Amino acid sequence: MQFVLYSHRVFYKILLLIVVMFLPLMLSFLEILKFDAMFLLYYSCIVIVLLPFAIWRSFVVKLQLIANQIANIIAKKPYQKLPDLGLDEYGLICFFVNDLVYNFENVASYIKSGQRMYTELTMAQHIQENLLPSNTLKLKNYQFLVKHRSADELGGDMFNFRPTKSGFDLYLADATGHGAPAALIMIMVQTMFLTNQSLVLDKLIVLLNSFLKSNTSASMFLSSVFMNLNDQGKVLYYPCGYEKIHIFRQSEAVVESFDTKGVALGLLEDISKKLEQKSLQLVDGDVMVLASDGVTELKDQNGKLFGPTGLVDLISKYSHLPTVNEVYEKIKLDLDIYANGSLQLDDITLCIIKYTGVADPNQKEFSTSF
Amino acid sequence: MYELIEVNKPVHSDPYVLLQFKGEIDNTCINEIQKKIDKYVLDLHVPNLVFDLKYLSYVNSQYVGYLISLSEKLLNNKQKLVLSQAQPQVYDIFDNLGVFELIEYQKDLDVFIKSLI
Repeated sequence: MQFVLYSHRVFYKILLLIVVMFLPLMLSFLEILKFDAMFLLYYSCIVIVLLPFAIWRSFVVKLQLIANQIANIIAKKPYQKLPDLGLDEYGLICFFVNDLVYNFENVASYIKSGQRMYTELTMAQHIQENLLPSNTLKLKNYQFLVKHRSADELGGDMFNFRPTKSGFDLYLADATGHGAPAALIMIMVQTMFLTNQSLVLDKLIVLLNSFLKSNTSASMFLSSVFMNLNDQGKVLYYPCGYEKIHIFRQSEAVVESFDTKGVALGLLEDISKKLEQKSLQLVDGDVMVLASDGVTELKDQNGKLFGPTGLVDLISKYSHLPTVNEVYEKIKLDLDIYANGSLQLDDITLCIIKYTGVADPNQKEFSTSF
Repeated sequence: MYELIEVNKPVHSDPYVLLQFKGEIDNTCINEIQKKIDKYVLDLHVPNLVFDLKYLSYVNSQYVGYLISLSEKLLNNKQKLVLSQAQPQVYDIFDNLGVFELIEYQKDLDVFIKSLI
């Protein structure tokens, strides 16, 4: 829209009026024309009345109109769109104020919608948190701890466990990415785990895979590991692309790392032919650590990744401590020092299991909150 | 930080187009990469889209997921995504997840390209 600056023209008009007002007087004064005294009096009276009226109509009415609506905005009263006052300065001010109000209304609407979404997100977060176990199990021959922290309000990391006749089943999984899409996958998986408690692990994995393949997009998958730990320290596990399993061998004070190479769930139509059962043996004092990629992908202030070797170093450094909670506290502290306030880019899950062989007083339930 | 380089400008008769990735692909740049590749692939008529991963030092699971969906999309158009020359740590990420069940991997890029010409 092209606005024309109008003030100088108004000024010329007023100047012209003044000239017109004084013209008979000047002509009389210069004796060019002779006017009757009564005519001059009437003439002056008319001009004196007309001049303020012209000024009032040209300026005051328009200014009053604009000022009223600005006063409404300030007083938080309903705003009425200013009329189109032409292409002069008043038109420009009206256009500007209307545009400003329109944009503020849009911003207010975005804020309201953001607040509504945040409220819904918080509710979704509670629902998701409630799907994850809030405490670990108290087990006969193990100290067992899982800790979890999402990068956003909603997360894609998940875990669950269930007692069996001679030990317990455990799974840890990480849905692609994080945030709401990953959280929806997590809810599907947790629900299937909770509603299929009687299924043995391999059958459950096949079922989960088929469900995810047919109900999610091609870009979504679930890297996971499912395991059964018995009272004698034997671990049977089904690797489906989760992070490596690290075991601190107490007797030699070394960390062994086991591949979890497999096919992530949701990639193939049928995973049954690719599913492989592996086993490993824990002896008294051995500590098994599983961590989601959020741990190894942690970055320091310079953007340097913590990496898998960093995690192995921490396991090696702290796994001699008597309880899994102490091991966790130390690892957490070192991770926090490493990150030094850097943004957590992915969800973090850390699982620490110590095989004690016998019942000891340190066996208890732990909170799963990181 | 990452870099995406178009190694050969494809013409209609070319059997492949080669894109080279450098640096790290994580949550901070994944959306930008997806947009770039999607835009690039839109008008692509060659049968093979080859990603050279030689200078890529890290990928996250979202990128892996994106490659799987891209591969599926290309297969529907009778085109193929081929990955090549991944560094060991990147190769391990793909291999660990079973990605090579779905996407072809060529260790030796030169040999593969010669086989196409």
